[in-house]
Amino acid sequence: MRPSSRGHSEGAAPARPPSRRLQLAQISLEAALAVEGVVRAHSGPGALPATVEGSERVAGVLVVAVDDARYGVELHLVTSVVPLHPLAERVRKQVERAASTGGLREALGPVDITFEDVVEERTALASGEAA
Amino acid sequence: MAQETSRVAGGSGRTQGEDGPTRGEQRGRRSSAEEAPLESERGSTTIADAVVEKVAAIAAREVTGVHELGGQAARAVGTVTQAVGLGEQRSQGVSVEVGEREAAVDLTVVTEYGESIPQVASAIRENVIKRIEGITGLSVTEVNVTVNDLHFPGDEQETTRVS
Repeated sequence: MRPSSRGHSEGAAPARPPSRRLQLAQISLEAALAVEGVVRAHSGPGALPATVEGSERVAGVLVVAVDDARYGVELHLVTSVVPLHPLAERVRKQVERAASTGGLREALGPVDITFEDVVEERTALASGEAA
Repeated sequence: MAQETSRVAGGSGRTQGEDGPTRGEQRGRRSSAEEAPLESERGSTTIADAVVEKVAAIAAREVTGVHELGGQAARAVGTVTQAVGLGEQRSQGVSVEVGEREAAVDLTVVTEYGESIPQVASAIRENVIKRIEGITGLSVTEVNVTVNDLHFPGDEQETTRVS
């Protein structure tokens, strides 16, 4: 049973609660950004990668169904110049932990991570300040 | 000012005079537009070529005797694009080919006049390999260094005076 984003709306009904897909996107990105070494999400030329639902848009993460019960998460990240494979593992663990905390562990499939760019320390700091 | 290209031979690469690097075409390398995923049960990790390029550029700049990266055209274009905010110069003079597990790097550099070019090339090679392997986990098969110019202290002042 695939989690559905379809809600029940009649007329000017109140805003629907976010789907599990959108929640996963938000939780995953938040978790990834909390990991030391991750500077920001990457949003490439054009609109993608992003998870979009209604007026909500989570840039830098694409959440797509991988089977009837789970969603795969694709994170596109810009990081500091640090060893990337250990960082990927830390991000994955953090996302899994956050999904568990948010009651979405069952819905979480594979977490694919793409390191799109690296920035040097000074740039990373400036980027963090700007954010 | 040295205008000709010099490539110097060394351990995991070369730096000697002639056109493009003689890379093994059949090493299972992908084109620069593609990326190298590392699969695991819990997901894959992909490192974009831009990352490898930037790490190589940073590593090369760390070496004493390297004044700048890039050929004349690349440096001129880089200066303009940076000035108008369209890009950064970080990866100019660097090109990489990245495969599933391996990477090969071509670097074009300007060295300081007076430094030993073979020693600078060797130090570049060593540092680039160390950084790329440490940061990306890719094995570096070649680092080809092209020294295409020398920098004399005071070059910039002269240029300013003339223009």
